[in-house]
Amino acid sequence: MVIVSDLFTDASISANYFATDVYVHGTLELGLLENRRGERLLALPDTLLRAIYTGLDNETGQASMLVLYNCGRWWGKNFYTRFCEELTDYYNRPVSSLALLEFEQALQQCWLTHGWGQISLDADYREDGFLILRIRGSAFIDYAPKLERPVGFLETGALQAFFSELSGETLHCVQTACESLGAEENCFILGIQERLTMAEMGVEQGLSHDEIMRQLVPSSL
Amino acid sequence: MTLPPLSQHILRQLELQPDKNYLTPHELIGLRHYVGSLADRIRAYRQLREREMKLIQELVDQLPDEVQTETTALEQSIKQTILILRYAALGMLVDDANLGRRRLEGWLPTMIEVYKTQPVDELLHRSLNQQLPRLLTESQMAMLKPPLEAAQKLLQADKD
Repeated sequence: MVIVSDLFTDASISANYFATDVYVHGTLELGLLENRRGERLLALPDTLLRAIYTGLDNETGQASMLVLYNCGRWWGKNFYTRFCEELTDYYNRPVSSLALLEFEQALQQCWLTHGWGQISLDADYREDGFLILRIRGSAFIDYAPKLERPVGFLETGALQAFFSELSGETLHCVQTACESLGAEENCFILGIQERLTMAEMGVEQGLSHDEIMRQLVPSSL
Repeated sequence: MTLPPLSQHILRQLELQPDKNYLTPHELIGLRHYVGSLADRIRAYRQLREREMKLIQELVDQLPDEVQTETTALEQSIKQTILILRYAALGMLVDDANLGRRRLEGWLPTMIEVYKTQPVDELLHRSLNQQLPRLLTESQMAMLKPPLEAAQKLLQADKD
């Protein structure tokens, strides 16, 4: 027997926390954009993003890839903390108790609402120790300088740190498909570093995401 | 497939740009119509707010025993039903038929899948739709229906 009044003790029922039209607030007369907890958000001008890429390239050349990747790791690590804090406070239960799909939904909606594109999780290779992430419409990749290799350095670092924190293991991340190279979506493979060496070599050789997956998981043929 | 643009609440439906022009006669008719129905909207909203708990409990009590034992799915489905009703009520109040759809569409289908609530949802909403006309007048029901139906559509969308 379910007593309905027991289900909402504080009269609030959790729903879509990151829903776009409730998540982003603003005290625009003070020049502030905020999320629904009152934490500051910034609209990042695309010209600034381009300028960061150009400035880094001018000052550090080749090393800029590594710098961006490391920035991404810091971003991912802090983003994870904030993401979990927000969800835990809102749902009033630990993030670890969410079903994978619920977690994915929250991450997708969060990504979308921040304007970072559409992210999706592909757990088909979970048994083999790999997690695939796909991002469509990435601004960070759109404005990155075009190279003959995937250029989602920020996201590579961010996803690696985010999912390392989430899984409690030190994971590595390799981007295997990139919108800058004409791919429909950006693909990222997460796994432990030793098992991803082959993926890194595959990227150097210009192999496609599917070809790389076949090398990593031969049984997937 | 591109979805039709989602409407907004009443003040957003008007072009609030006095530097460009006065509101059009068409917009003023819409606004007058809305203001004329506002007292009724508030009465309906208050009625739903006050009767919510009792109404939902009645719906739950009528469920067959085999559904009552699936507690997790049932509890989630009850929460979803309350949410849909609340969004529909607010959508009616501010004349925004798609309020619930906008806020819930990226989320509700996942919950239905995770908690396998579809069979219970169906039962609860069928009796909800039967019970609501008893709480509200015909004109109130006519104002509640569009936002309610728009939100309830999300319950069927999960198999796409």
